Parts: sequence; structure tokens; C-alpha cells
Amino acid sequence: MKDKKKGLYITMFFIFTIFLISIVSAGFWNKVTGKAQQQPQDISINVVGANPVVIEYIETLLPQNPTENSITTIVFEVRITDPDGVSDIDDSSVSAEFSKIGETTKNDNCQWQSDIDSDTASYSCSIDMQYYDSAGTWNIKISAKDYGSKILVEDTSKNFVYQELKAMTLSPESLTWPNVIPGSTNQASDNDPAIITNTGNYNGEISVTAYDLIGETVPGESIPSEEFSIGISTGTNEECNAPATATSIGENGATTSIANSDSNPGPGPANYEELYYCIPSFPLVTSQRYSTSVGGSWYVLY
Amino acid sequence: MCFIKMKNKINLAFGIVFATLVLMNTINASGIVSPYWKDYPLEMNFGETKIANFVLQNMVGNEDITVKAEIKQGADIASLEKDIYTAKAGTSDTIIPVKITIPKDYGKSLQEIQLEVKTIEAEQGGMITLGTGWTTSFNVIISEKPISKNFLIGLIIALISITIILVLIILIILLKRRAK
Repeated sequence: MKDKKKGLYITMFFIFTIFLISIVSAGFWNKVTGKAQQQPQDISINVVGANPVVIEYIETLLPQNPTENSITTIVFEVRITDPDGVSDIDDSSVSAEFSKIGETTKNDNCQWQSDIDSDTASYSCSIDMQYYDSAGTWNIKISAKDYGSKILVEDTSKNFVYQELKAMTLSPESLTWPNVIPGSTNQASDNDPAIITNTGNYNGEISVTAYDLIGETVPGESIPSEEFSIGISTGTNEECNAPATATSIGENGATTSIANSDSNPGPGPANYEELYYCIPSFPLVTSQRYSTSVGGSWYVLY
Repeated sequence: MCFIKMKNKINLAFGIVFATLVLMNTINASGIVSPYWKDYPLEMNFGETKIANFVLQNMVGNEDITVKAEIKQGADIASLEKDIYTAKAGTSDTIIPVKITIPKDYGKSLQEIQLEVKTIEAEQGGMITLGTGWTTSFNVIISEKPISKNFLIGLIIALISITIILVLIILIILLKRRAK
């Protein structure tokens, strides 16, 4: 019985001692000496959450226009939510990517814009599209992660259409021939090639719409457009040798696709095609100046 | 010293002449953006009208350009408000609207539309004056207007209501006959 009481006293003594120590430690009795002096201390604690981010919203992009010989900056908004609060979103991880099969993928980091509420933040993403990037449907990929779980979350559910831009520069703006004797052969222009530089994203053949050349003194006489041929190379009169290495031009007003021609879309300086003009067999017409001033200009077409 | 200065002046003069010749030989560049093209057709319904906005750009040259637009194919459903358009230098927002109307009784489910746009060139004095142009072709895929969800729900409700009314009428008739 006595032993039981003794044990109870010892237990109560220990409980009391622990209670007393906690009071002293809390500064209840400042008179108690031997305790370290109090010092102010800055404490910073990063609270991170275990939940990954959610890509809440990606702005729908309307079809985008390429800009001739330039870039088109596509700006759009995304919203990222983190159930653990906006402070858990790793702002630097929010990024956007545009991709299309056969094209170089483009990406950029998105910039924080504002906090919409306690757990959702808005970001502005901008990506530059080149004038030569191919027309069609491009995929948008948004990525983001948080500090807590560090799980990279991606969304590839959205697409946009990059439209077709047919654009070119053409030089020179007129073609000349040296004085020609009627009946002579393989008379090539003396200021070609016409250089067609692709300043858009069209990928395909080049066509030419041609008209008869009308006599400036005797308009009743003409050099029919069918007398011309066009090639993409020269040297040994390749531009005169249709159909082997050149294309015969069609009748007055017709549009003819130039064989083996290519718009060559892409970054400069390789984004051009050269056209060489020839009159393989000059017709027997009277001596005078013939030109397009009456019949109409020729057109190089994409 | 004097000789070097003179040489520099000659080089500068050659440079200016060369640059002028290059500029003189360059046609003002321009282009057109198509909302639809060969691989990206337009889908429409019978009885529907849509506007396809083509965008004329004149970003490279430093002179205004004037173009002539023409519907070369599909003119039975496509039309232009006007055929001459001017794009000021440095702009990329001149709209060429093409109005496409599919009649309710249109006999085709596929129609190609071809728009040709050509620059209007001043005579350049050579034997052949060259201009630039673009031909844009795209298909219009025409289909019946799909039945809307609301219409379907309404139709089902109407059918159920009619059935209930018919059953009630039959029941009333049967009960009256029995009563007799």
C-alpha cells in the first residue's frame, strides 16, 4: 500500500516538474535566472502543397494571319490553378509551345499577369510565328508545375489555324530582248532571270499568265504568247528547250504552270526561284517594236 | 590623300547608282492571306451564307498597290462586292470579302471556288511588263444542316404528348362503350 502511495508521489512530482519547466520556458517568471536572453529572429517558412497544378483555361485562338516577310506575334492568356494557393505555382515553369508535323517547334515562357483569386493566376504567353511557317493546324501545348509536388502538368487539347499567305517580290518589273531578226532561233531575254522571292508560306508551283505582244506601230501584227518558253535555268539555252528543260507558254490570256518551278518557302536567302524567258523560234513579223503595252502585262502567279 | 578621297567619292557614287538600279528593278511586293485553301476547305449548309475574308498585305514595298480581284470558279455561289482594292504601303489589313451563298436547292455537295487577284501594273517600257498575282482555290463542302439537340428534345416531347393524348382518347372511348 505504502509502495503504491510512494509511486504516486513520484509520478506527481515528475508531472509538476515538467509543468514548471514549461512555464519557465514560456517566460512566465522572468525572475528565473540562467535562461538565455531573448533575441528577435526573422523566421521564413515556405509552405508548399502536395497538389499538382491544374491548367484551368487556355484562350481560344482565332485563325492567325502570317505577316508578309515578317513575324506574327501570337499572344494569348492561360490560367493556372493550384489547390494549395497561387504561391505554390512555379511562375517560371509556365510555358507554351506551338508544334506541327514537319515544322520546327516554337516555345516561350509565359509571364505572370495577375492573381485572379487565392488559387488561380493568369499568365500571358506570346510566340512568334514566321511568315514561312506552314499553313494549317498547329497544336498548342501548355506546361506548368508547382513547388510542392513538382509534377509537370501539360495540356495539348487546343489547336489553332495558321493561314496561307501567298506573297512574293518580283524583280525586274519588265523584260527586254536585244534587237531580233525575224526567223532567228533561241532568242533569250537579255535582262532575265525574273527573281521571285517567296515572302509568304505558299508551297507549290509558279504559273505565268501571258498575252500576245502587239506591234506598237502596226497593231495588226503581234507575237503570239505561244512563241515563248520559260525555264528555271539557263546556260546552254535550257529556257528555250521545251519541253525537255523549259515550258511552252499557252495561248493569249492562258495561265501556264512552269514545270519544275518551286516557290521555295523558307527563310532567306534561299526562298526564291528564277525564271528565264526565251523565244525559241522568232516569228516572221515586220520590223517594229512589240510589247505588252496594248495586250496587257504578263503575270507571275502563286 | 586627295586621290583616296576621290576614290571614295567614286565608290559612293557607284553605290548610289547600283542601289537606285536595284530599287528601280524591284516590283512592290505584296501578298494575300487566304482563310481557306486547298487543304483547308470551307464547310457550309444548304441555305447558308458566309463571308470569307481574304486579306491583302503590302508590307515590303514602299508604294501603295492596287489589285483587281475576280472569281474565276464557283461564281454561282461566290461574289465580290467590288473588284478593285488598294492596299497602302506598310499595311496588312485590306480585306477582300467574298460572299458565299448556298441556295437551299443547290444541286452539288462540293464546289471549288477560285479567286484570282492581280496587281494593276503601270507600263514599264520594256518588251514585257511583269505583274504579280495569286490564285487561291478552295473547296466548299455542302451538307444538310444537322438537327439541333433542342429540336430533337422538342420532337420527342411532342411525340410522347401525342401518344399520351391518343391513349387517353382510346381509354375514354373504351370506358364509354363499357358504360353503355
